[in-house]
Amino acid sequence: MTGKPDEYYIKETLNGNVNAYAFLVKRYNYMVFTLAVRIIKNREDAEEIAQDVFIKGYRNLANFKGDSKFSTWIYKIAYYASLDKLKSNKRQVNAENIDVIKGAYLEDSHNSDSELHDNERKNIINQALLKLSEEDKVIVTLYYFEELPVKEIVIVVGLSEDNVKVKLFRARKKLAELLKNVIEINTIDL
Amino acid sequence: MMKTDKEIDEFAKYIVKEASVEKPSEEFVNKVMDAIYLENTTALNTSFKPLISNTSWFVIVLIFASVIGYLLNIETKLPAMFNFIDVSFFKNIPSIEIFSKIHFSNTFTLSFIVFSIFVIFQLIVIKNYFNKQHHF
Repeated sequence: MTGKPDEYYIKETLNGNVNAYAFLVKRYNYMVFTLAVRIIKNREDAEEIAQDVFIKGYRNLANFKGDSKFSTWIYKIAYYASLDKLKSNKRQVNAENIDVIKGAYLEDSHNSDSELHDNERKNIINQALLKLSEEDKVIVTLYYFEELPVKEIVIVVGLSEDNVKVKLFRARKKLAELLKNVIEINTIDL
Repeated sequence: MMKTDKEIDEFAKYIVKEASVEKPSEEFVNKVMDAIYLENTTALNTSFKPLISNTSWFVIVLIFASVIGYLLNIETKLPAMFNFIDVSFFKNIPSIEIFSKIHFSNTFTLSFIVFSIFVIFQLIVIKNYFNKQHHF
């Protein structure tokens, strides 16, 4: 993928070069899908929602004023679309459902002990993440993985800055509590 | 044992990085782009073309204005510059009097005007509504 900024692809798309939008889809599809799957807890539904998010993004691209980053804007669409899906989804999947998380890793699992161990650990971590509330999952994912500043997260979830900070504080404490017996602090290089 | 908030913060960062991101199917980008291409094609095919083009409207208005002009000013003399046109045949056309025999009550006329205004208003509103739906 080329390193051109989002603005370039946005401008190209708006000028009629539809193919330019594919670069934006490639750039953000993992995170949009991750947010969706962590909220909806069903890979099939999450993929459908993630597709809808990008299609909706394309339709509304002319309305994107650039007040925030494109990523923030698309994550916001993903967040609300996922919450809507969750509400309308009658067959809400149990938070413990391992199907949500194993899909991404089973295909990579070979027989190596260390890799198996890594996959198991990832599964456990993902299960812990799924135990957080929808808002907390999104906040934690965007803050720690995407390293989005709090001000951008505020735009995504529509909460105040203080509220996001409080939620972040509580969520990381809960994560630490859930995983303290599984992952030793001294096993990681802080 | 984690004690300080900084430790917990670092731990959470490690955890979330370790969890990584979920990968959608390999066909994800293609599916999105196919849906967009399809939508664009459909939009092109269903783009609304006026049934009557601007030129046709111009001709219709011109004819209509001429007829009205003729009916209203049949007795008035044409400017000198049109003297070369022989308009005597117009006077041979029997005068139209079919409407003079029809009388509408004031209530009917008023209802008809109000109804027409509503129809035109609805047409504009519905057209805008569908335009917005189409373009988002």
